[in-house]
Amino acid sequence: MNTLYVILGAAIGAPARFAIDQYIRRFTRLPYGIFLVNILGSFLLGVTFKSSEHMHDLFAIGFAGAFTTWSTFMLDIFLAYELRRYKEAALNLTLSLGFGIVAAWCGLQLA
Amino acid sequence: MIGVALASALLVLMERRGVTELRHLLLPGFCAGLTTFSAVTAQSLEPRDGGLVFLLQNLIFSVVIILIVLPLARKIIPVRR
Repeated sequence: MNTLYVILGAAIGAPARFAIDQYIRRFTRLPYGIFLVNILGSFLLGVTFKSSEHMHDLFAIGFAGAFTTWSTFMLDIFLAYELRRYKEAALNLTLSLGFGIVAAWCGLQLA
Repeated sequence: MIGVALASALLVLMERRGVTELRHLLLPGFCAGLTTFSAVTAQSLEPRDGGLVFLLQNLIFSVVIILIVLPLARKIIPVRR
């Protein structure tokens, strides 16, 4: 049963991330979409961290897990570095991790 | 780490062979869904899970994997003429 909750959450989270990222990439080549979903997902994981088992499986593991992405975040940074956009890479790294940790902390405080 | 490695290889494949539906399913779908940013940030706040050391480990290993896989994939997957 727990697996079903994770599958359901992930089935919503992954397309939601893709849709948000694709929409924001229409206006900019910078990875603001991935930045946004990672911060929102970190906050959501914090908020639902201490909730009931099913809610935790659905939102924290399933939805937030699939909604946020580490691989795209790392590739965006590395590709910016390769293209000598050092400022963009450094800003993405520090702001994403900084805001991500703060968002998760805020979520945990509200939980 | 597996997701980062797969995503690096798929990125080169998409760069050089174009974007097909299957590759779209695999990169933004499977690889991005397999890896998770939120768990890394949340566990960075938990000292018993390693705290900021865990975050640093993730960063370093991810960069090392990209540094290995990306050039390797670029060498193995030629540009289609």
